[in-house]
Amino acid sequence: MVSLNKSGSCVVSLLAKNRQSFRHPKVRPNYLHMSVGIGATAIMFLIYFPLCQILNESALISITIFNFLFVFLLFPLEGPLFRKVYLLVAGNIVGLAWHFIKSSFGAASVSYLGADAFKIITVIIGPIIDFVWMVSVWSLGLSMLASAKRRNEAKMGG
Amino acid sequence: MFMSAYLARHFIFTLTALYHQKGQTHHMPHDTTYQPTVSILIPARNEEKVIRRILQRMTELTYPKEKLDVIVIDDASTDQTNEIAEEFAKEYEHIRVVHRSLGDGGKGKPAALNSGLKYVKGEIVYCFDADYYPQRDILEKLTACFKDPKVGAVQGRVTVLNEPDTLVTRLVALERTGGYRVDQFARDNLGLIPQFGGTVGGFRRSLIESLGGWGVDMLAEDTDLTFKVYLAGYKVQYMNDAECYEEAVENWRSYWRQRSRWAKGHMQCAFRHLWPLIKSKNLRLREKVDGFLLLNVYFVPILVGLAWILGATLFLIQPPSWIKILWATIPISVYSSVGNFAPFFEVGIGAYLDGRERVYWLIPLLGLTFVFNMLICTKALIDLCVSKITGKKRYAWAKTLHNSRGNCYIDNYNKVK
Repeated sequence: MVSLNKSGSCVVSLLAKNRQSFRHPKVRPNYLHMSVGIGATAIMFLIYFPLCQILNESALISITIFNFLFVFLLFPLEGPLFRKVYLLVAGNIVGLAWHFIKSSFGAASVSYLGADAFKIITVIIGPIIDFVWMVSVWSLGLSMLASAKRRNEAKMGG
Repeated sequence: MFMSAYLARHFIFTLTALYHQKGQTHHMPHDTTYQPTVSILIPARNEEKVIRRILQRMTELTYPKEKLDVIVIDDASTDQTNEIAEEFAKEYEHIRVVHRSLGDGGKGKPAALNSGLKYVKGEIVYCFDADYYPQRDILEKLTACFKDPKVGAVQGRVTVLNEPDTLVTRLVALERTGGYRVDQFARDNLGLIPQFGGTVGGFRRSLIESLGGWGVDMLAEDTDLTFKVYLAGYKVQYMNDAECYEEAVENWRSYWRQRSRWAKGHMQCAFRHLWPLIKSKNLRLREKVDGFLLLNVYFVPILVGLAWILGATLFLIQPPSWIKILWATIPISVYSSVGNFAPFFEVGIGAYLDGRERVYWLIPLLGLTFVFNMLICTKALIDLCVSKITGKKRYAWAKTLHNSRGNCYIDNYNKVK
């Protein structure tokens, strides 16, 4: 007897073998998508290379962390490759925009609040602020992948 | 090292739940399913708004009624809880009510459960809170685990019933998803220490009696019992498919009260069980490591908060040389923001595995609950230290108040069905 509960997990009662087994849908990591993600990240860094004079280390570090998290934690999940690459590129653009806005605030803080305020914004608050955009874009990506998966399942179900 | 261990732990749990789960299998006896006699304890203090719902559910359980014994512990209620419970007891043979007088009652859930334990007849004792709403076949799923003689306790999954109500209920639902669907599930799969959550779970009666029942002096009697079970040589099994709905706290004030009790209780457990855990011969190394991290988990927000404050202060002052060692706190503050992506990953993947679609938008807001928990844990630690120094008990059991808003979701579901 096999039935599907509301969370989508499969409940299998194998009374013939005198056991009751609860199996959950197993996710297989998509290594091909992950490889494409690594390639896409490498291309983006080649583009950033000439921009080194505009981008400082903190921006590059935060974008690298974002790309690492995105490629290794989101690309292996089920979902269309095109959408994943699109989200990765969009995330990088958001990261760059975020960096320029943060730098502008930093520059303003030096003029009005002094160098100490700039240091605090850059070193202490900076990672926390960067973290906000990283988690937000990653969540958005996961949301879009989950929606695509749901639609796919609905199609498969007729 | 300490912080990195938590980072690694979250990633290992999430990747296990996502890619390396084994599935949960329980062997059943020949010819029939394993169905020993079972008792369910439902402690209730002024729960007139929700008690009818769970008692109605107790009449709908698919477990054989001749093997089922439901005991409602009316913990000196001053509202209609007693009358409603008596109404059900008159109508259904397998439901009984135990009353606690005004003098004895109101001393917290552990004391109420201990008074109910005296009347228990079943081989297995389960505990459900009055605001909970279990699946009809939950007892079959949970009881199957006890076929394994090493299993001393079992824990089912808790999901939030009133999730759409407020921002707090939505965030609590996300925390629950990460906590149960990923954290508890991975612990069970990896042979670590799944935690007994105090409700939607049960024990062998012989074991709980030998352990002296629920600890009345503990604010987190569930964590206390989890470690007592492991130290006694048994294990706790988590059953993800045994689901039960709960009414989550709806506002920040209730959230503070509930989490404050959990934080103090967990810290009490850390002080009590850390050393016996390290010395224990019944536990494997991986269980000891997991137990150590589990016991200390409520100290992490305090450490992160301290790192933030110290880091900012060191930037503002010209520190003397002896204080320069504190620069080490800066990597911790950086970790706590960027590196601590791991818990968010855990929650997101929990929702993904549950097939959720839109809840991910709220994940960044969990940062708010983290900051809130930083304050809660710091206050809890200060309270515990002050009470230790002065000898005065500065903490008491704070009951979580429930309204009946969750009922409308069940009514709607039943109408649709």
